[in-house]
Amino acid sequence: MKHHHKTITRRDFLRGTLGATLTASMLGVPWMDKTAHAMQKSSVTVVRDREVMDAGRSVDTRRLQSMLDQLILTITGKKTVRDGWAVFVKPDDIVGLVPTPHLNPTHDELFEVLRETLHREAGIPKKNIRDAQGGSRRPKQCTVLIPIPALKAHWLTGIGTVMKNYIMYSGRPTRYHDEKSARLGEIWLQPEVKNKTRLVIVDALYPLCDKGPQPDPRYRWPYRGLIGGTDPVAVEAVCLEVINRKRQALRGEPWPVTPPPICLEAADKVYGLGTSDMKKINIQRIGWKKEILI
Amino acid sequence: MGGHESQERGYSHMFDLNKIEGRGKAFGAFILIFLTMAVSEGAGAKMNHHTVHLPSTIQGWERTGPNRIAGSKSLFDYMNGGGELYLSYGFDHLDVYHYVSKGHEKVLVEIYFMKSTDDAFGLLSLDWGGDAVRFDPPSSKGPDPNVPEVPRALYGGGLLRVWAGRIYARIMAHRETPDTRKLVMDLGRRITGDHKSANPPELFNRLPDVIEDGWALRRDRAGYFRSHLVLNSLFFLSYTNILSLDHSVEAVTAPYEKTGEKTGRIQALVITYGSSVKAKEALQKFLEAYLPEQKRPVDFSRTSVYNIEDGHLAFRSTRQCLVLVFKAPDDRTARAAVDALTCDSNKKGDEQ
Repeated sequence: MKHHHKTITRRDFLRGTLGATLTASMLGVPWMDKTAHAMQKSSVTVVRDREVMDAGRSVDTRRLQSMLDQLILTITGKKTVRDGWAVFVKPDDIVGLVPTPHLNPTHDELFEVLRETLHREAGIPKKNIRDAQGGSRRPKQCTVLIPIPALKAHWLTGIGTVMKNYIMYSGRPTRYHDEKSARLGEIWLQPEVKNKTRLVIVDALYPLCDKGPQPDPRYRWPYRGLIGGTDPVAVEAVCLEVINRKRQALRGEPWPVTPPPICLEAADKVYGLGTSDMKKINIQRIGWKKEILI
Repeated sequence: MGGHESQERGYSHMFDLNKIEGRGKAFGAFILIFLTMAVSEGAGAKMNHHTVHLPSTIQGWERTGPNRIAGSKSLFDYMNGGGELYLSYGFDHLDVYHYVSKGHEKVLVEIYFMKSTDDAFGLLSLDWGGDAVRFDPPSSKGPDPNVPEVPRALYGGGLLRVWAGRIYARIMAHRETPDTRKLVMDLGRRITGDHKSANPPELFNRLPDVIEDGWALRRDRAGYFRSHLVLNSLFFLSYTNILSLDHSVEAVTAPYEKTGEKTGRIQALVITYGSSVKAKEALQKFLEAYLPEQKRPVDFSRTSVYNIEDGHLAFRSTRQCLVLVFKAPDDRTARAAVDALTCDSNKKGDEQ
């Protein structure tokens, strides 16, 4: 059957016809209708601490540890950190932490605190807690993946945080440019990746709200937060909201990221990876509330 | 964070001491005096079109590099998707330097050598935010009334962005301190050196300041470009290249605003193609993608107006030029805007 390619334009976003345009003929997967998602609700936790990073941007690892612990306790509802981590990992797991490697990278301190925590609280040997960012061989070696991307806008895709975090696993990252960035969700369904992501933790200590991935200090600010959850799409949606609200605060008027991040809605409605609708996302806010933006 | 304070100054705050408030004023005066003296002493960097020689040590800072990056693959390895921005303009090569102080402060210097002054200008034009910094002395002839005064260097939050001929440079302090700021400015002066200033592209100059009925140009939001990727970062139209933009075309986009009783904003887009045939083909492609419901034949040489979701869309193609106006509040404004906007009619090529 011949497929008719229809171009996504600004008007699709204005009319709310994005779904109809991103049809099976384009992505090869049916666009889920509303009823399939009607009952899905997700929870995202935002933990902030005013003292976690000083004016010189040095990170207090003790406070970062406390933030991480609070994140796990809130997400899982467990009474101890050990029980919380037991929801996600077992001692014999091989855990791949997936950081943003450069250009506004994930803070080394978060990587190290997380590794220490998994070793101490979940009983995982340190040699089984790895940096899994890179080619597709890395997730193959892991039984669990925990993305820990840094929060940033991206000039090509609108946002370059959660959904883009696995792009190197595709083996051909340039395949996901332009409207093909809608396909980023398919990487999460690759055999070596699928069902391994138990938890997402976004490094929102010092995010970038414009011009990413290239760093621009005018658009970075000390949000001093971690944003986490089990639904990667919901976490990304909250991250996008933080970025857009910060941009609005900077300009004094609405200034949403452009181009609109098509990957987010596709991850929800095409690939079924989670919920992109902010109305269906419950946000738990822990700690410092000033200029939390959401 | 210092970057916030300079966020919205940009274009409307050319380096004018009268507009710098508070404690910045004294420091600003020092910088202006310092820079003027330094330029008059002729202490510029040695520069030709392909390289800039920066000192290996300055005031206790040690340099490493340059690390030369040429070609799209190397650029991608250096900055992933960020490299696409420079490839969207006429990228030639990049020289990267690092300066480190004894106190372990760091300054990154990226000097992008572009194929034309217009391409280097285009990179600066993507964001007019920051404090304008002047390294070159004012022209003895006075300003050209036909060329809008544009900043050649902009500073904010520890980052200095410089347009100098075919060079676009980013000089960025890892942390903004008085010492790193001093070095950043010194390097900016050296990179600018005695390189003869170029004028902005004519297409950019030609944007009228006012369109009928009080619509004023936001030149601080005007961008010059050649790629749909860049257009999307300024004003999203489509992920696909529906206007057939490439390195052979020139384009500008800018908002026009109206304040007062009836506020509003329209978006102007002016594109020059290599020939009138290419301009018309591009407009046809745009219509098929953006107005697929429009089936009637269109006379491209006359202004057409359509009322769509976000206002009135109008366009016209004349010779090699394509003018589009988006989000106009009514038919009359849309037509007036198209009439006011124009391309360079003196370009070589097909004059049909």
